[in-house]
Order: sequence, then C-alpha cells, then structure tokens
Amino acid sequence: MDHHQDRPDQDRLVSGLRDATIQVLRTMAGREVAYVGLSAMNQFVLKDEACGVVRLRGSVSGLVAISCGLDLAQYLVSCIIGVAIDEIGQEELLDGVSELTNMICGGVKTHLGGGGGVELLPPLAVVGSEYVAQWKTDCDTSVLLFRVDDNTFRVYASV
Amino acid sequence: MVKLLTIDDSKTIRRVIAGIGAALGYEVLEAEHGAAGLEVLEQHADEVGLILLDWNMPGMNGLEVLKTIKANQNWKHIPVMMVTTEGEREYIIQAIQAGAIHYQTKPFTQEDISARIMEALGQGKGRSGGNVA
Repeated sequence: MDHHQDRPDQDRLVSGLRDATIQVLRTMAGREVAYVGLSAMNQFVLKDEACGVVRLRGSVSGLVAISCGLDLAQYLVSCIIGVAIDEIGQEELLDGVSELTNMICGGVKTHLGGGGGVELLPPLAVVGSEYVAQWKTDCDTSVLLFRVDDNTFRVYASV
Repeated sequence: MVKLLTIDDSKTIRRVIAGIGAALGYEVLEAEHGAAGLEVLEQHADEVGLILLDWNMPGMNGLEVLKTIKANQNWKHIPVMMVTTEGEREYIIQAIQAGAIHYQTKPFTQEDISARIMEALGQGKGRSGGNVA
C-alpha cells in the first residue's frame, strides 16, 4: 500500500492551519496577520526562541508546531492577557505559547472534521535560545509563513 | 455578589476570563483543573453564578466535571458554559446533553464571552440568591 494514501489531504490541512492561525491571532491578540506563503522541508526542525508543539493522534497523526521570535511571542501574549510586555514572565510566556498552539491546532482539528477521530495531545512549549529541536519523521514538513506586524510567525505541519 | 468560576488548565485563558469578568463587575474564581474546580465549588457553591469550563485538562476532562456538577444536588442549578478548542459537533452535543447551557469555542472575542456571561446570569438570576451586577 502506498504510504502516501494514509496521509490527509495536504491542501485541507494547510488551508485549515492558515485560517486557524489568522483567526486565533486576530481574535485573541487583536493583531493583523498576513499569510505570506508555504514552503516545504524534508525535516522537522525548530530553533526559534519561542515554539509550541502539539502531537496529533488518530485518523490524522503527526506534529503541528508554531514558532516565532521571543519579542513577538511576548507581544502576542501581552495582547491576549491585556498587560504590558514587561509583565510577561517566563511562566506567562510558556502558558501563552502553549495556548496559542492549542487553539490553532483545535481550529485545524475542527476544520479536518473526522467525527472525533483526531486527538490532540497536550501542548509542549519551549522558550529560550541556542537550542535546536528535531522530530524524526519520514513525512515532509509544510511550513506556513505569516507576517505579524514586522515579524515572522511560522506554523509547521508534518502528518 | 455573584461570582464566576473559570476552570481551565491555561493560566492565559483564566486571566483573559478574569479580565472580562472584572470588566463586567464580577469577581472570578479560578481553578487549573477539574478536581480543583470541584474543591472551589465545595467552598463557594452559594456564591458561584456561572461556571466557565474547559474540556481538555489534566485528570478529569470538562465533560466529566460537567456531569459531576450536574449530578450534585447542591451544584446542579449552577449554569455551566463550555469554553474549549473542541469545536466538533459531537463534542457540542455531548456537552449540551450533559447540561451545559452554552458552548463557546476558542478563540473568542471579549464580546463573545461577555454576551454569554450576561445571558447566562440572566437565566440564573434569583436562584443563587446573589446580586447580578
């Protein structure tokens, strides 16, 4: 059996991620978001200063992640909570990045439908510098690029 | 004074809801998982006028918490509104059948939650004996 037949429609996944990311950042953070485009990698590597990862299990399985620079992550979380950036400590940042990831993945799950066949595992958030995170997979990784103000926001999907 | 109770493992969401509640003039009690939420209810059942409940949390999930609340004679009158990333039809039906009065998916606007809170507390007015702000 062709392995690729088990994969969900990539167009649906990408459109779901695009729509969910824009909706979450606009609705929760009140930011204007521009979708820049899509690229692909043959590996799944994260190294931005703030990232969140959610594992999908069930009829769709794989990994979805968001990543951006520390300044943008702090800014987004401060907008969501409604406090000044200098009040955003590591705890708030980790929780905020987790919740952003959770909401974006929840939107994708709803978009994919599937009658409850997709389960989202609890998010993992990483905040810091000088790390490289890799997930070993034989699937290509789709990378969606967004602009939020003058910063880059990335969403990765490998399913 | 009626209080709101938010049960959500995300501190971010609890703070957002606390801010919205405060803007409406309500004190908001917070719990980071289902068991903690039930403990808060044990202590404040007479004051809580609305529970805003997440679905996916460590330990008991939101549906289990909802069923526990609705099975308790002292708590079952308290309106419960789900606030969750789970937007699939099956989840919504389960929650409504278990007694939730509203189902709000994340992400949400401040206006979304404010309107739902006002509507829910309007429905619940008079039963808890508290004042609605």
